[in-house]
Amino acid sequence: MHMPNYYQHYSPGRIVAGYGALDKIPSIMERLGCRTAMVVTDKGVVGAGLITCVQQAFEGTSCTIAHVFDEAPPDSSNIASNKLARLFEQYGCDLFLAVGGGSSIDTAKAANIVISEKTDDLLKIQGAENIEADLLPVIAVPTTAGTGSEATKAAVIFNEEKKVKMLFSADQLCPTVAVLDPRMTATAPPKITAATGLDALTHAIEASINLQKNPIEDAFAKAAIELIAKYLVRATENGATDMEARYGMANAALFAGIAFSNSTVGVVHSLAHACGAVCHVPHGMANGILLPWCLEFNLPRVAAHIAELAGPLGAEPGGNDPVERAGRTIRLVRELGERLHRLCGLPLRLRDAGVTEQNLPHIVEVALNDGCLIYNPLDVTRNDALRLLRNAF
Amino acid sequence: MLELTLVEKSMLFARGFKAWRRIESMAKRLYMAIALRVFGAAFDAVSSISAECERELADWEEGRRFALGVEPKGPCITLEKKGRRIRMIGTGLKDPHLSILFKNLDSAVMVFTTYMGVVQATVENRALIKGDNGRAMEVIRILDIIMIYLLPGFILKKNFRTVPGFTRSQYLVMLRIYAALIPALVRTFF
Ligand SMILES: NC(=O)c1ccc[n+]([C@@H]2O[C@H](COP(=O)([O-])OP(=O)(O)OC[C@H]3O[C@@H](n4cnc5c(N)ncnc54)[C@H](O)[C@@H]3O)[C@@H](O)[C@H]2O)c1
Ligand SMILES: [Fe+2]
Repeated sequence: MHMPNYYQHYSPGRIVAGYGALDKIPSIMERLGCRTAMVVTDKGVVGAGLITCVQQAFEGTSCTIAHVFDEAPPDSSNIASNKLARLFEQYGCDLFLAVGGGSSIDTAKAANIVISEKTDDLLKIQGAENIEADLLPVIAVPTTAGTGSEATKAAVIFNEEKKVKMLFSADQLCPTVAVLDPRMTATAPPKITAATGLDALTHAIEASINLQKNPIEDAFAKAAIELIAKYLVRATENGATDMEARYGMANAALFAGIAFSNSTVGVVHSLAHACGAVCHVPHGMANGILLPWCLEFNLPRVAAHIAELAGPLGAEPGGNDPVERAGRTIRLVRELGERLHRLCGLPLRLRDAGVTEQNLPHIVEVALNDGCLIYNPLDVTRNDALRLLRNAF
Repeated sequence: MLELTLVEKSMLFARGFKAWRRIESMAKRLYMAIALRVFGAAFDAVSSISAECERELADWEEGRRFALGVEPKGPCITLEKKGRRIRMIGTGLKDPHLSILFKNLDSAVMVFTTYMGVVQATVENRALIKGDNGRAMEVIRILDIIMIYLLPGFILKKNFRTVPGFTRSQYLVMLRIYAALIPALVRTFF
């Protein structure tokens, strides 16, 4: 087991999980001393009928939903967050109830920063560990099993002016409560299920190999990887009815979220954030495409860490040579991507995900400014980044 | 695995005495005040000569300011991009667009004595950033270039994830940087 000389772990959120967990939300609100929720979501989630389920949970209780903000944009944005913050105050709300994927949850987190730091513009509070105020309570109900944002101290927000993805990180950003209800992810279409699942896999794998690797995060990450290996294909193939697979994936995303919230992610995420910012490649899709190439890149430094993941991914025991075993891990990751490609057409190459060759140099420049690079086992130069993108192109 | 060196063991013992703790803290403040100025001069010297730095600075807008220092109210310097170089414009926070601040003196001293690298300090959550994280990465890349030119190889090997090889022409650049450092130091201290 890898034990660094120093590490930190912080995961303060309450987790309420199970079939029907949604119905507990009003009583959770009461315990938090809150009455008036601002629901934060997007049109896709509303269209899937999920907000109606949430509204039903409030019937006959003393808590109310003051407003449903359904304008969380893909990848969140500073402008939407500023607007949400103003509405939150106008409606006299006392709690954010984010119901959606990472985009909705992060929009709620960012609006929470705007209100609590008493500013009018999110861009004035950029930084790392830079938030001083206590934030208002957030209940996060993930409807994708991917980002883990329901349990992370991070928010990723698209900066509409600079066209880059900004990372906010602070302990207070961890949602007060995460509610996992498999009913909420059952409606996610196969391609979104597959892409978001690969985001969770990337969180778990990067958390297990990067410089903040530690025993607590390893335990969460390995459990997440086992669940993903067991359930991601099933959830993609048969997600509307296979509740066991949905529940397994919801847990996997949460565990992976806790892991990477503490040991951060690395080069895969830096490149994926940049692909998202420059070409709007969906986050999970970009991660899934880049992950095997970036593992090969990091292999010379962390073969033993990568090798440890072969078992959780389903490899039969055996093989003492770490490099060989790490190769097995990478092959299993590739095979998973290929199976998902056959099942739902999830792209395996950046060129099929909306990236053109002309975009690559710009993506490199954006990626080099992404803070996740600091935590990668190996340094990533301009040439390295370009080579990785070319490989995945 | 966690093992204390003899120096660390002696420090732990000495810290049992209140007077020692006060002296130590004063010494660290003084050391950081001097080290930050030396780095201010190094930014100036390296940015005026190194081609790698020039490339990094090409996209910086004129007048961009950043601060390096220690929270709370510890020693601090503010630097500014002027023309093709980075100049220290004074001590303290002078309306910087970005601040990179160590959370305490101990962390700052570890990095500025090269006991610990910038990457490891970040990994151990020893610094905070106020401002655009992308700009912080740009500053860190320049800080890396400075260290690569000024620090001996064995320290780079210890503190860097990947140590780039040096070409013959880069050794010449290194000599020019050392020569430029002297007037830069004079400017920063007097
Ligand atoms: N804060 C963090 O810790 C963190 C971590 C990783 C990623 N992120 C960020 O999260 C964002 C991506 O979030 P995401 O991958 O969850 O996607 P998303 O929130 O953007 O949702 C993707 C699409 O799926 C639809 N959808 C979601 N759930 C559905 C459901 N149950 N049924 C039908 N449709 C559904 C949405 O309407 C949307 O159109 C990115 O901006 C990424 O950078 C944040
Ligand atoms: Fe992610």
